[in-house]
Amino acid sequence: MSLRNARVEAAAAAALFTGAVTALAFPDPSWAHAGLIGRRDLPIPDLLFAGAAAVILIISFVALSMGRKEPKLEQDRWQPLTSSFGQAIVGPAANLIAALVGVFLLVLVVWTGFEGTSAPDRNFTPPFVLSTFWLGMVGLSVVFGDVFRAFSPWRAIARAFAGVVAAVAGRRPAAPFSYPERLGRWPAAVGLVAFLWFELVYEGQSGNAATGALPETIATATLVYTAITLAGMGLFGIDKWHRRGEIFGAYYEMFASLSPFEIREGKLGRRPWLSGSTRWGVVPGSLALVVILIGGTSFDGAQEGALADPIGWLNDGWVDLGFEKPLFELTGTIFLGLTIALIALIFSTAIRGIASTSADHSSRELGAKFAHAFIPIGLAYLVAHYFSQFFYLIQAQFTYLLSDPFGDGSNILGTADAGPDYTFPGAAAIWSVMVVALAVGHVAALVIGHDRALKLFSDPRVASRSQYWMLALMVLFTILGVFLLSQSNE
Amino acid sequence: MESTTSRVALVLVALAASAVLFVALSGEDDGNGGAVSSRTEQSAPAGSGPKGGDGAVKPAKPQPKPEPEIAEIVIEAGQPVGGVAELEFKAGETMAFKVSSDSAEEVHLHGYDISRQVAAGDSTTFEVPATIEGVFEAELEQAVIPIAEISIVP
Repeated sequence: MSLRNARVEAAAAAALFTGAVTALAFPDPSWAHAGLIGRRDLPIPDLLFAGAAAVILIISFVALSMGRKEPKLEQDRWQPLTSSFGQAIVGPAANLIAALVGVFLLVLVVWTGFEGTSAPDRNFTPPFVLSTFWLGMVGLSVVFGDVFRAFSPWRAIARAFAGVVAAVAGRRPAAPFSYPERLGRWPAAVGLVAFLWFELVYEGQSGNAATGALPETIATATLVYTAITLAGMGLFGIDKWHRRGEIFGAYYEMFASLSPFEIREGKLGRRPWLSGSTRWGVVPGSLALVVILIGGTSFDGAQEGALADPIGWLNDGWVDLGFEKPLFELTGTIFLGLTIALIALIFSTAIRGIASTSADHSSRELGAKFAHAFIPIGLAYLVAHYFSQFFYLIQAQFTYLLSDPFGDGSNILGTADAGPDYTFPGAAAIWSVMVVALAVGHVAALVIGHDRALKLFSDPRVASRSQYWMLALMVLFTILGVFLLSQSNE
Repeated sequence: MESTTSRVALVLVALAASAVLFVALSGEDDGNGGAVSSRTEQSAPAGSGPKGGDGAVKPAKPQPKPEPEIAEIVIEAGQPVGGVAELEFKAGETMAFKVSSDSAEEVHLHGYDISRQVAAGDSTTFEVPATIEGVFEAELEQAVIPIAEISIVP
């Protein structure tokens, strides 16, 4: 009986897959914009796309047949580092330096945003916030663990304030409210949608979503967000809000769960790669973070490729309806929402498929139990979509944007005239990075998912049956990722 | 056996998925041929922009013909006639296109970061070694109106 169910579900998933891919299969972009760097990646050529898709399918089947019998990542194998350097870099002095750097950068973002040139690509603020920080911190988190916790300017300011209050009043101030645990990471998930909207949809006064918000708008948004965050920390406790409600705290903690480094009770220790993620998904709202990550990146990748035509159609529609000009932001909002909803729908279908293989687990429970397996796929989406842009912008960041942060012609470090070398890496190298990132992310996701299934289902046969669903879902997301890149990319 | 059946089901799903993707891809290629501006535009004979025409690609009656056949982007009332032109050149060769406008404009080629002024009723020609691979935009700098999307392919 469960077999028949599984067949029906498989058919449903195939239909959904077909629908999703067909819906995204629209002709090439005809309208595009330049963004912060005047260059976009070429779409992956058809042949490479087909090859990558084939390789991913083969990897998946090989992985399935070589499945382990014992979970490896699920046991806690954290070991403190014994070297004195290892402990010094998480010590009070290092924390103080990190906090000061964080606060300095926050001040710089606001200061250059208001005082510098309003050309987004010549001002320190937009490239720093939208690329160097937003993407660079993802890379640091994956490799070095939750470093943002030390660098967070908001945590630093709140802790300094609490320290002053403690010195004056004689005792540390307690948070007036205890954080409602069933909210979990939902506040951060909602905030993440807001940030993506600000980054990808909002035009501000520049009148162009690619150029995006002007430096002073980003500075204003930073001040508003600072106020919200400090309020949240004041109401619910500094670290509680940092990990549950603060967008960046929760976002980078997600990527840090893949890292081999973790601090426990002030001690830095090592653990196997990926193993930290097994304890990440128990908090409510975690699955939403992953879905929004994949959905938001898909939208950004598709809006100039696969979704360019429907977006253009809706924009024309506004004019036909009698509006003076297209409501670009409303269109963007609708399609960002639709993309995230589509990813969520695909997700929930597959999770229901897994639930159908076993009577002991509800789909709600399984969603939370497997959420962490999709962090590597989300990470791969980020790398594939933003690698080249980040690579070029970081060169700009450390040359003219650092030497001339206000864009007023100053040359503090003598590097104001240098800039990115766009000739390297070439298109072929960029395509390779995209495909390899998606394949590696896919394998990591398979490993995590397989481990969790072995732990969850005592019967190995049930475990591997549940994995067909996971496999189908992961193959779908990964190939969708390559597909989006074959359409167009920013 | 049960696990065999589900394995077969999985293979079918995967095959269906690949088939759909291939169809999607080839469908895209077909659709592109009829698009307003095609990627082979630079090989089309240059001509003055057809007034009120709905396609920049539509080869207009050959004008006194400029020597090399290069794409021309016609700007009327601050907008590219026929929408954003899509041009493609091979890396290592020379990208060449002409912009003519009925109003004075500054044309900026992003990435290569080259700006040219066009006087009203005049034209300017870009001839640039295609050294950087990628997709680049040419726009009317002041109005922030994109006029061409130029792919430099390896």
